[in-house]
Amino acid sequence: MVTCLGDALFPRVGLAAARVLGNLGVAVDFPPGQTCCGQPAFNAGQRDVARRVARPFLRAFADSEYVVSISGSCAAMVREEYPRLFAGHAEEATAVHLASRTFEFSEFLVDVLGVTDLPVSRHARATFHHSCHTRRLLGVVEQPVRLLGMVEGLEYVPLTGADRCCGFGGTFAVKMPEISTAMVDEKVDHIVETGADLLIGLDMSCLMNIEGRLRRRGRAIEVRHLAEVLAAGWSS
Amino acid sequence: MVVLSAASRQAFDARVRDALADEVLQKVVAEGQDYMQALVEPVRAEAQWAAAVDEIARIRAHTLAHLDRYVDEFATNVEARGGKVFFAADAAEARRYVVDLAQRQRAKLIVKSKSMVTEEIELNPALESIGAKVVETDLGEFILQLAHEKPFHIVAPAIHKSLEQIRELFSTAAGRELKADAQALTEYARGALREQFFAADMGISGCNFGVAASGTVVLVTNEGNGRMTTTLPRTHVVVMGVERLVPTFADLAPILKVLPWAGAGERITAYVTAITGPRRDDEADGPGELHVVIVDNGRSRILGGKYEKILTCIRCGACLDVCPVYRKIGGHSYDSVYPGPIGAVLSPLLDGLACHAELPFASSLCGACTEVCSAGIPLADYIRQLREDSVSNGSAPTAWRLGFQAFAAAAVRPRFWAAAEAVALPFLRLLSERGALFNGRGPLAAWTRGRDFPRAEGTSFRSQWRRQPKRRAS
Amino acid sequence: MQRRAFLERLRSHSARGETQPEVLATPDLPELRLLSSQERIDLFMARLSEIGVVAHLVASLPDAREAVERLLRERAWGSVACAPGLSWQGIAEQWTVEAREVAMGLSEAEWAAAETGTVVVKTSADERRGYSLLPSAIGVIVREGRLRDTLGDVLREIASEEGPLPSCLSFISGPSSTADIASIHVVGVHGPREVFVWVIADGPAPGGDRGSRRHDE
Repeated sequence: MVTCLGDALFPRVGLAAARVLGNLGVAVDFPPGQTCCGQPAFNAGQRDVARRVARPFLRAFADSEYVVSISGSCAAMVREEYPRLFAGHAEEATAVHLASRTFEFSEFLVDVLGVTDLPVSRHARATFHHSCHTRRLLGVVEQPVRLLGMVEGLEYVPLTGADRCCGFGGTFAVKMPEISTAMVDEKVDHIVETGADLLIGLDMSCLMNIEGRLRRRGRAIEVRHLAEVLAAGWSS
Repeated sequence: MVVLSAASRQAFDARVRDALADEVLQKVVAEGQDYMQALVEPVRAEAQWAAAVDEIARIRAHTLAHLDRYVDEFATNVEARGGKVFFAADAAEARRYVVDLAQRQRAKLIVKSKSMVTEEIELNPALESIGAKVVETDLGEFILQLAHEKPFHIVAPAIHKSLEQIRELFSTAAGRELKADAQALTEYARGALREQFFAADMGISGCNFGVAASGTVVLVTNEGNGRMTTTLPRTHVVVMGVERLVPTFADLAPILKVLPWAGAGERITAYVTAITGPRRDDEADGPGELHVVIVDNGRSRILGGKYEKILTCIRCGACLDVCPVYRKIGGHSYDSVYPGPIGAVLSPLLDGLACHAELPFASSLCGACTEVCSAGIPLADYIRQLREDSVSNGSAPTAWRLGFQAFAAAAVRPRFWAAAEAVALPFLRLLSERGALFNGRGPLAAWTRGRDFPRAEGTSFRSQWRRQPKRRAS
Repeated sequence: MQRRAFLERLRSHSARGETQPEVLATPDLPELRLLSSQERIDLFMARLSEIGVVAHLVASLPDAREAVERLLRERAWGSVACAPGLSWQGIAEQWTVEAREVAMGLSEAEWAAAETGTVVVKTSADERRGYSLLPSAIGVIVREGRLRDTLGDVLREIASEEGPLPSCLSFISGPSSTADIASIHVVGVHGPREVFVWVIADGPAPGGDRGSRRHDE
């Protein structure tokens, strides 16, 4: 699952994730019927639109054994919300089935593939952003940290206020831009405090928000999805 | 309706802007949140906590399912113990009862201990209009009364005020310069209010929980003003929301395990006061009369509906202490009696969405509130559902509605989607190379005013994937 | 609104469903369970200290009286307000409206909870609310037999007792306090500034070493 954002703006993340999975012996496919899981509409209160958008999404993954998402919040949408969104509809069973096969990227590596070490290295001082939905809706907290621990040469510095929202919140970022910017400012302050030269995360929506503010504030800290770090640092 | 909502949004934005620019507020609110988090988080992690929260949810759900029966039982028992009960359908009825009572009793001085419901029904102005002096005795409310401000937080109402600001307020009231020392300022308040307690004709309090089986009114406090207010004046009036009941005394146990921690960062508050009726004939102190005003004011409308769980709130304030939006905009931005996540849900439900159109959207849906709620209320989900209600009401701005329709039309047609990407993405790349997306103007201004837009690659994932050597599943 | 109409409005909105029982079972939470009376007293003393109470362990009621007199001498307090039953010659004075001038109020606790350092005082013809509220300093005498493990135990016991509740039950845990001024913790607001507790270790409640009366005993 590459997500609408990933498809349009961050192709490199999806490619990196596919490469890592391939390196781990997983046969990776990209069903082209997928466009958007419907979360933006859903969170904006446009329930009918969300369902409309989600229907073809359900069909796109009909033949997939597992669905691995490069976004925790999109995985959460499918896993936590799809069964309720389609409750009482013809697609209910399909939705439940899809939910049971959907995983976030780091979760898939650690919990499903059982990865315990990786031939990956990256020499950098890095900190990590736990996205809200990934942490709270999926319960994915220690999997990414464990994967980071497998990266040789990576000096991990925990982030203060790690469980506080970065201010993206989907349409919130553009509906309430002043509040959103104030929130991401604090996040940037904490990131700068760590002295890290690399920020890693699991959700391009959050990372896009944070990076946008970092750059506007003249900060050169590199921002990467975990998949990118693993793919780039993989020793061949 | 469009004109109304534009004005409402402007007012909201103005309040938010004031809050964001207020350095004292920013510092104090963040510190307050961090202080509470440090105290409560380790306790919340214990298994005991989760069990207590589940228990609270169970007890409160049961109570709401049989609320009429428990209200009946509670009222019967209050009366059996010599108290009087008044059933107020709405704010106006509640105000009228208390004002009439104050008039009949010629109550000139009234002391109050903290009660959010009395704010909700706007009781103080009504009492003042008949010439009664109303004195707020809860330290936070006392500060607000001097500052002529509304509560900023449901547990610590004056948390936004700095030590220096409070020093100034108290010094003005005292007619002399007081030290910028919390102990000294508290001493002043103690002295100033002590006289009032002894002289007051009537004491008005809220009610944290009513116990149906015994007709008991329970107050959970720290300062002692709750006890003073309900002991010294000859008449005690309790104003309570109809949902604030538990079936028996034993049901308070899980609540008292959680509320002091979540609300005040301590194992137990200094006082839990259980009042059953006025004083007995052979007692030498205590109020001679007890009046309990049970207020509906829109709560019965929520009962039995999709938002019912909001009525199980125990007013601990935990959601405000973790909300990242509240952290930035503070309580006054919400312009409602109840701020923060609880307010963002309760206020539109009690007053109507039209009065609080922005509140459901002033959230990033991060879920922190749901995570910490002492009663297991799915607050973030309720906030999102209120957005659905807003959309169904036709309140969604046309631009957004059309935007989503257009997005949906593309999303359900993958080939069209791919074609649209093939056209739009190179254009986006061109714009970003020209710096056109970084300047805070144009359609992306809401983003780019504060943040740079990501540098577009110019092609989509799907088009790049197609060009990759195939690795099909066997 | 009339009572009947008010209740009817509630009833008509309620969605009872089949899942809600008519009567709620008493909460059965994992609770602290102390094995011995000594453990209970030790925890109680520790918690009292934590919440800012000056607590002393004594062997008997006469010893408690001596301890109170010692305190009064130390602090040069000449007046105490308390119920006649605690009126020890030499120190007692009846409570009047001017109770705020009394140096200390003295009460005996009906119950106490070790886990939270709570003492519970009830009103009666003799036991006035003012004794544990109005003076700047209050003292409470707790007999070991009235000490329970947790607040929940006390609440359940109260719930199961026959007869009406007293007009006022005060669960007191430490002196009055606030953090309403810039989140700075201050002790002594409207209620008492100082709390003294004397625990009389004169044996647990009848029925064994466990002070809690549980349904299984």
